Amino acid sequence: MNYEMEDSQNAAPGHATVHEASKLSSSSRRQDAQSVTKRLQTELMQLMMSSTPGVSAFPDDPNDLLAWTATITGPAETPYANLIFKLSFVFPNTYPYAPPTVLFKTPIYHPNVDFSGRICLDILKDKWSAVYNVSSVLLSLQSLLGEPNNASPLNGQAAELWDSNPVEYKRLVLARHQDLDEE
Amino acid sequence: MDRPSIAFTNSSSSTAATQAGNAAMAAYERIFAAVFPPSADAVVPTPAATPILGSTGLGQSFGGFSVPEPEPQNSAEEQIKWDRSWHTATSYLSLPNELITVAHARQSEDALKARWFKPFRAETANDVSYIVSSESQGRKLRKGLVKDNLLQWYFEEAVCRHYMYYVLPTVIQCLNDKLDQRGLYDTIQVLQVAQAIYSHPLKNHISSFLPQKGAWELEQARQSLHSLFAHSIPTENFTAQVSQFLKEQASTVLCINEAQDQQLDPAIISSARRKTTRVMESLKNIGLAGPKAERLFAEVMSGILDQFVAIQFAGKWSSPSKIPEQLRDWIENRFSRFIVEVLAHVRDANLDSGNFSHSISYGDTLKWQQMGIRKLGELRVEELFDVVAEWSMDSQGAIEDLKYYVREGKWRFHLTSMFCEALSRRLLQPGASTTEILQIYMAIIRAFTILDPKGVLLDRVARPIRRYLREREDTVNIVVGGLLADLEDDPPVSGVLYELAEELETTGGLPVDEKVEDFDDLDFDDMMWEPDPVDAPLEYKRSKHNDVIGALISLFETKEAFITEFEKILGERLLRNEHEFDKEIRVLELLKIRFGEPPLQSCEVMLRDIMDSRRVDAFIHKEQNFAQNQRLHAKILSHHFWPSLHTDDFHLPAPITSLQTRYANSFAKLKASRKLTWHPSLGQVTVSLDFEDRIVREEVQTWQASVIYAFDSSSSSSPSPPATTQSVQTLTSSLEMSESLVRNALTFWVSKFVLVQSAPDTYRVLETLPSDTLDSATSTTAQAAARAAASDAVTSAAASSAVKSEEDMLQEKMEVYWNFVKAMLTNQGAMGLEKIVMMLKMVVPGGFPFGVDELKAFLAGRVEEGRLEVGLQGYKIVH
Repeated sequence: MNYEMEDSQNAAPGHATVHEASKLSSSSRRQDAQSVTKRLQTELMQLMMSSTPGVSAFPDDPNDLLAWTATITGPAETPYANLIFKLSFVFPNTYPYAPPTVLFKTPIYHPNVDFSGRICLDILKDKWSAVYNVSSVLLSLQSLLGEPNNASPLNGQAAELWDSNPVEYKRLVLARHQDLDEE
Repeated sequence: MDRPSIAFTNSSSSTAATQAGNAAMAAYERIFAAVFPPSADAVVPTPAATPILGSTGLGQSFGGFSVPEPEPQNSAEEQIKWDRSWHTATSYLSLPNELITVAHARQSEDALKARWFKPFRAETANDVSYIVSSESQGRKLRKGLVKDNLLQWYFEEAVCRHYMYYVLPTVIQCLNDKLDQRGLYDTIQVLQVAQAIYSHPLKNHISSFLPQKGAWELEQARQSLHSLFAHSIPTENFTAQVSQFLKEQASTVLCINEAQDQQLDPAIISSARRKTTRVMESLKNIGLAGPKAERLFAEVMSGILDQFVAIQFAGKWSSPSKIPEQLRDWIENRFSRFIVEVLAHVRDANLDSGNFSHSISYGDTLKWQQMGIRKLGELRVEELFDVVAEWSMDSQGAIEDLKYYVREGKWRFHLTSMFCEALSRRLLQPGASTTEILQIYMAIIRAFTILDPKGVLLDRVARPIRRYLREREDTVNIVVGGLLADLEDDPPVSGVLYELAEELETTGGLPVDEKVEDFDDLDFDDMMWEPDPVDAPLEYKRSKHNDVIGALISLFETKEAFITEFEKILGERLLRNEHEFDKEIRVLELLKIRFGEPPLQSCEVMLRDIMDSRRVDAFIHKEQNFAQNQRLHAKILSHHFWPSLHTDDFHLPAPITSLQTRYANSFAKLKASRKLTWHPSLGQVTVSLDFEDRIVREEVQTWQASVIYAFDSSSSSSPSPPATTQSVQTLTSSLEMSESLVRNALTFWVSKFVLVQSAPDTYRVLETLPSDTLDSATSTTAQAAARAAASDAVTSAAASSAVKSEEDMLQEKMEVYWNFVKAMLTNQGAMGLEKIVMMLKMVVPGGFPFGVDELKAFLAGRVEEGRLEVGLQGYKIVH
């Protein structure tokens, strides 16, 4: 006789057994994955239907929509004008309730981006909301290029140069920038 | 002690039971005895030490002289007597070496007797009786030799030899040469004569010397003779001739080639009947009837039944059908009677006397009737496609006939599989138009609903047809067009499914009450309840769409597809026509019953738009007081609810534009919050053109009117000085109309003899019609070609529709696909064509409908525009 089994069978109905709990969580996770995929599909379709100039994004692998690559063209009249930046998006299973992880793939010289491409942007951290989407994140990033938040820099030199020496700033931006496609 | 004794008696009785057992016992005894020394009184020529060689039985000598049997007394005398008698008897019995020919066979009986029967003299009788008697001494002398049994000798030596050499050749010749019935008659005749000759001496003379008048021996001889006949005759020819004969006679007797109400002359029938029985009787007499002939007869009759059904009932589909009754009646009263009659002659009375009844029972008749009904069913199954294809109320009879047939599972299966096969062979082909297929599908629904009200058969045969129809692109179009078709169209437009409109008219298009159907099986008070047919699939539910309209509407996977198409066609009709839209309203109401209101909301709005427009239009006209020749009527559409419309933009003539402004002002007054957006390309214009010699009045489209207005010499606004001559380029730029539309309009007017092409791409007004317009128009090849092109253009103009076609939509979609491609290449780098297609197929919602080739062509266009470039790694975006 397996008493352990019997115990679990006779457990109070209010408490989910270990088995049930794991089943519940796995099924809900699967459901999450499905809803994430669905949401990302919708976002992709929206992006395609309304092409915003200077911004684009596409999944890396159509079978797994959780990783995308995006492209931003630097806004005119900024040191980044006409430069092309690639970014990687990785969506968590809890998306859109948690923000995607966004990194600059193209080396960029910017006060709010460190040398490994990590970005300091409030909406990608504590200010994230489920109403944001890929397109709005990209637009925010595009505007971040023209208006850096120098109050909380990741790259102190850049924050300093932005105000003090635009010429040197521009030179550093161009020096740092490499087109990924050329590799 | 009891037990062993019982066992002993048991065993002894069982061994004694069989002879084989005895023999085995004897052998064992000998083996057993051989091991022991022989008893003293036995003659043992060999030493006892060699028992292996085997030994003779006890009391028998090994080798040496056998003890002769005691010779009969006067053996020599007896022998001579025997031999002499034998000689006399055999010479009496021997047959002359003479051919029995057909000619002989036809001789009279007396002539035959004189020729073949030998006189039976007294001394012969003595000798025969000596030979035949079992006690005669000579027989013992001849024991073991052939020459001891006179009858055997007669059969083997005389009869067989004679038959082989002098009769069989004639028979073979008869059967080979004459393939008509004479051959059969002659064969029978010859064999009968031969039998008579062979049996004459036995029957008439020799049998009297045999015990019991030789009944057994005669029967024996007869059987031997018959088996000789049966085995020697060339079976193939003979069978063919007999069955041919039977077939002919049977078809005469049963009148299968005659029309139902006609009968053959009774004299002919009875003569055929007599002939048959006579031949069968003779066949029985010469031993050729038997089971084989019976089987032959059965085959012939089965064929006759087939033939009867095929000849009498093929293509007779009238309703109500009396055919099954006719068939039953015929089988009972004529077919089985004839069988009884013939079988009575075929079957050997001697054999029947036992446990074998030769009378045909009523059960057999029933069996034949069933068979007949089945054959009728098979015939109808073969015809079914034609019945359905030419469906009318008159052909219902064929379906009624089939009702009897479909009662059994395997025939049902046969029916559906045959019908499906016919469908795929004859109907579901690229050559058949969709209208045709739909028509036949409607007929199938009607026919099968009669055949099998439960709908199981329909369900099975409809499946391939429905699947096929779904693949056709124009199905939706035709169905919707059919529903809205105008029954008063005269002449009927080809390709329009008027039947559907008719059906709608007659049935009112109401679906069967679905609620009642659903609870069918739960209604325990339903005394008319019947179980589903045996071949109904598990969980079978009668399809709700057994009515024609329901079936066609449910063809489409989703009602959305149907409704979208309906919206398109409705939109087109509403924009094109001016008449009252009673029909459309009714169809819409019917569709509402089927689909419910919400999905058809936009159609509702469309109809209301048109109705409202009339009211608004009337109001505005009253207010603005438009001049007689300045009537501008507008249809005000709620853009959101209408299918996407063609909005080719171009300049309308100035007077029209001013009218439009006035109209819009009035409208703004009426409905302050709304603004009118004009769709210049949608609309009709009544154009009246005044020439020097004639007035042309045409009902045309707006773009055609705008083009001809540009040629107006009286209008001051036209830019080029000689307004009556215009080139395609100036028109395109001044009207801001697409070139193809301009050309289309120009060719239209050329075909109406309003314009003429004066130089390439330049057109001039034909102010005065040349007196020989038609001649001159056809005399020069250039103009003939122009006219041909013009008529093409007219048809294409007529075909150009107000609502965007599927193709335009695809073109639009292609733009979306281009965005996908752009984003893909921008973010993921250069990619090969195949990979792009693969990605698109996975990413685009609803799938990517194009293949590699289409995409390649499309991308080539983008490459030309400089937005893409092709590199080593594939396509790449140019930034």
